[in-house]
Amino acid sequence: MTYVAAAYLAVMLLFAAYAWSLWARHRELRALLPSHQDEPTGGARRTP
Amino acid sequence: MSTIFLWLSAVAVPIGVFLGLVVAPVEAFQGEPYRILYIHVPSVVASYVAFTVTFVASVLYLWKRERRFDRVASASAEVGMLFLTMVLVTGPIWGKPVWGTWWTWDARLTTALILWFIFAAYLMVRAWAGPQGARATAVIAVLGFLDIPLIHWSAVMLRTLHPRPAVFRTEGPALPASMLIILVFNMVAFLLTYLALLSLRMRQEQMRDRLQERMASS
Repeated sequence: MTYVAAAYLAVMLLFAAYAWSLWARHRELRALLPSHQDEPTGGARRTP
Repeated sequence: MSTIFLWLSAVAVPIGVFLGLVVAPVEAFQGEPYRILYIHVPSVVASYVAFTVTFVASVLYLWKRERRFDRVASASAEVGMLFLTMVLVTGPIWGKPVWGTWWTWDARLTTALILWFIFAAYLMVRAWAGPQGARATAVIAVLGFLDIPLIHWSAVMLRTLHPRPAVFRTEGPALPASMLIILVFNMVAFLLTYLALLSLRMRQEQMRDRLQERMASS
C-alpha cells in the first residue's frame, strides 16, 4: 500500500505544482496587463 | 469555458482517486499495487491526446503560419509534459513491487523516456526563443509525435517487461467491468483536467500576445 500511496501522492503533488505555477504566471501577466476598465483613456496623457 | 472544465475536473479527479483507492477490487496476482493503474493509464491517455493536439496544431501552423495554431500547440505540449511526467513517475513506483526494479531499459520504457526528452527540448526552445521559435518547435512536435506509435507498438511487437495494452487492443479490453468502469471514469476525469489546463494556458498565451502588442505599440 506504500507504493500506491506514493504514486497517488506524486500525481496530486504534480497537479498542485503545475496549477500553482499557472496561477503565479497568471498573476504576473495580470499585473503587467491591466484590464481595459483600469486603463486611463487612450493610454497617453493629452497636452492642452 | 475553462471555468466549467476546471470545476468538472475538480469534482471528477477526487472521485476518481476515491474509486481507485477504495472501491476498485484488488487484483488477484498483483494485489494492492494494481491500483496505480487508475492513475497511470489515464495519464498515458491524457498525454497522448495532448501530444496529438500539439501535432495537429503544429502541422497547421507550418502550413498556415497563423499564431493561433502555435498557441494551441505550445499550450498543449506543456500540459502534455505534465501528464507524461506523471506516467514516468507512477510507472517506476508500480514497477518496483511488481517487477522488482524501478526501471529497465526495455523498448516501451525507453521510447516513453525519449518522448519526454523530445518535448523537454520543445519546452526549452520555447522558453528560450518564445513565439519566435514557433517554427522550430513545430518541427520538434511533428518529430516527437512519431514516437507515440513506437511506444504503443513496442509492447505489442517486441518482448518487453512492460505488459501489453490491456484496454486499447483489437480484441477489446481485457479488464473485468468492475475495473474497466473505474478506469474509464478516471480517463474522463484526466481528460477534463487536460481541457481545463489547456484552456487556462491558452488564455495566458493570448494575454502575453496582447502585452507584446502593447509594448510594441508604445
